Amino acid sequence: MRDFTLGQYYPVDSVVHRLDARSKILLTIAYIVAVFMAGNLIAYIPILAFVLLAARLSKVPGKMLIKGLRPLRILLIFTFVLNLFFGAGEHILFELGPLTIRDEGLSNAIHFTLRLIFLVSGTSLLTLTTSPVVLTDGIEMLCSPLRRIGFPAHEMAMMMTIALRFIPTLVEEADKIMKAQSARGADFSSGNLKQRATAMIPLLVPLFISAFRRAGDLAMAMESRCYHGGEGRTRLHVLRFQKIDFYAFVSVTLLIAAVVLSKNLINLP
Amino acid sequence: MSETIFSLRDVNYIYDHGDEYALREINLDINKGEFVAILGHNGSGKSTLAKLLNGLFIPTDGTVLVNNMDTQESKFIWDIRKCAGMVFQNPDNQIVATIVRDDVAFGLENIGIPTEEMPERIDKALKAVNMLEFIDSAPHMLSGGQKQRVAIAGILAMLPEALILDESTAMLDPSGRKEVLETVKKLNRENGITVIWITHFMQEAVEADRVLVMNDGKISLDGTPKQVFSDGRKIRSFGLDVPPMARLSEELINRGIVLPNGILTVDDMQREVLKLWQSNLKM
Amino acid sequence: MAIELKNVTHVYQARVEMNIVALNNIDLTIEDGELLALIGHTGSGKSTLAQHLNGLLKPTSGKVLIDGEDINENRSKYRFEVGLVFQYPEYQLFEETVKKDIAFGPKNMGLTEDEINQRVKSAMELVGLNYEEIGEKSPFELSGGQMRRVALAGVLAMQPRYLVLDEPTAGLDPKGRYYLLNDIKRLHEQGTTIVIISHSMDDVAWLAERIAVMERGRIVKTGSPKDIFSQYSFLSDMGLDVPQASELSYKLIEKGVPIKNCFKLEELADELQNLLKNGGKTGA
Repeated sequence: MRDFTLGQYYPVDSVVHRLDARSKILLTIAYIVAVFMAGNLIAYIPILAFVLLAARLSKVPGKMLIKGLRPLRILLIFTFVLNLFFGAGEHILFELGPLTIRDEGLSNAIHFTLRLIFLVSGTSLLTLTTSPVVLTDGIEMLCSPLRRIGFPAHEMAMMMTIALRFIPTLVEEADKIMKAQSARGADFSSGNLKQRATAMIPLLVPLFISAFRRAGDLAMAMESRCYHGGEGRTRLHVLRFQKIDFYAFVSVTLLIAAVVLSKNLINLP
Repeated sequence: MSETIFSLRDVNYIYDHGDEYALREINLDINKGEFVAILGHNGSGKSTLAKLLNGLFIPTDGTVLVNNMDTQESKFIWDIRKCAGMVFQNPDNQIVATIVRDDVAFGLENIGIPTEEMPERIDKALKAVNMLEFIDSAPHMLSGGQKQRVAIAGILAMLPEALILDESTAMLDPSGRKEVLETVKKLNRENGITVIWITHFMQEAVEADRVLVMNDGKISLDGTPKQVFSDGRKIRSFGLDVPPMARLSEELINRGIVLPNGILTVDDMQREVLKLWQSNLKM
Repeated sequence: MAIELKNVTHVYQARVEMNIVALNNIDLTIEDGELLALIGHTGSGKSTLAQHLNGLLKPTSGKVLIDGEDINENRSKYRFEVGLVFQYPEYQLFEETVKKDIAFGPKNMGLTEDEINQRVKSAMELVGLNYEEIGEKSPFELSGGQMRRVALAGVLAMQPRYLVLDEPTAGLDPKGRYYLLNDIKRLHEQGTTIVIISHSMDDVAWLAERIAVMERGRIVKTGSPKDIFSQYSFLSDMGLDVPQASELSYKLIEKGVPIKNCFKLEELADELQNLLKNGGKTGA
């Protein structure tokens, strides 16, 4: 349960780590746009190059990135198979009984699978190189212009920090309660859907009660440490744009240009 | 004359949804630099008392002064909490951030300390609780005792005058308890920080300058550990117990052996027994 | 008969890179009717061992036998033989009433309504809770000590032959602790085999007939409380406490005082009385 990489910070010192969190968030958004813009397989070449370069610079081991894809493997296989066998297209490439593979289906299968892989590996680079606190700071500051129209930027960021902090605690707790109820003969893994849903009650009720108790405790602890919202607050992490942020923006602009270009190149007759 | 830091006058406290007194007629002065242990069974009112000391609860009647600031007056509330920091029971439920450094910074950010001053204060606070090497760690990877020390550092960084520990060792193993108690004793001794130590481990109270015993919302006993633990029967009537060596001393006195009052630790008892044994040998 | 652990090794593979050996080749027999205490530092493997006793965890290698039969070969038969009470068990309460919560285990065993009621009643009696008075209450209205006893009753209602308790007194005040220890003692006297995991050496000194000391996934020593607690320096080197009576007698013996090592206060009082009144010459 603990091996999800999404949201797992990998603390080393690298150029990518040192980038301003706001830049990284904007860059990631630009990167996502680029991935969605990729109209053909050639377009994935610059994207691959970009991810490899970023991964290299970030000093995050490739193993970590691949590990992040593992929870998605079923989705990946599903996407691939579904597109492969049920895709449209004029030419039938392969036929065996009810299974047919058509040209467009094949290219879609590869296309969508690659898109997913690139989306996940790119965004997990963001969370691997940015500590959750800095990340939420970045989000808060990017959203702060919206405060004028009543958007609770600070509160949102605080909620995210706390959620991140308590995920491991609650996962551990769920595991413990599950074991304790199993020791009383609870069965979480068999039966039909309805039986399984009912079987979750002995897990979920204590988990909710505990989450509420923790929330109450935490609120009191925060209050006693003088927390009173975002007003008048200073910060440990101050975000500053630097030269490297500029280079990063240049590189992602180049990426988008390359993707657009490859799309047009192939479309030439 | 030493200065008082906490001063409670005719304090009553009733919880919102209820009509029973959680605390009644509390009159109490605590001096700067004192190490005060508060004992009492569950529901005796000791946690309620703690929460009155930094304005988390406001008394129903009476006044609570912290450094001469009245907790009823909302303009003082942040100064009061800065002055008297609180560590709670469950180590998991008081750490806000996902990295130790950021958690220690949390209080500093709240009170508006300039960014440039923060790193030094954080380092100093973590050093004082001997946790500097864990500055980049994730809290959920630490032991219970380590988490509590991080919580203490988070308060120390705000340069408080008093630390209130509300059963902060109840969920720890013996080595964690020792870590936290030693840390707090050192802060009291070396930095002159006033300590309010709430516990139900009798042995921990032995180390205090002064022990308060709470029962039924009142302060029933108030004195040095020696005075408070001298009457085992009384202590037990409050649902508590005396430390093991005090019990042994009771047993021996019952068997007609002459021992001085106020033996609370193994070292005390060892010294007294040796003295008696050696004088027996000479006879 | 007995529970036997034969060469039990358990490796946690939660973290891919490092295989953490939680239990390393454990051989241990828990005799019927005994009260065994497992002591050791946090992380020494006590809780992992406890979870092997009722099949919640399976050994990576080795076997856990009850009456000579491997419990992991016949899960359904041994599932309810060993009752396991976790740390802070009150955090698993979930039902609307105390009765219903205690009935959860027996219900899962597939017993009849009558049998279930009978068991709930007797389990509550065993832990000193009044069936009429609090049976219909919500468990969340009770005090901490009472909630813990409800959780204990929930396990007892399955009438296990073996009862494993992980830190049963953690977080309780002196009175709550006293009641709970008495419950455990009574259960033991009525014939339940008990394994207790505890950091509190006072609890262990009061209850245990035999002690197993764990360190880094191994059992490094087993013996009677007298044997174990007389080895003051061995225990304190491992970062474990000893009862204060043992510490005092150890320190006095070191100074040449002719007494026996005692871990119970009353015994030590007898011993010292004998020493100081009779010069240690009579009695033994």
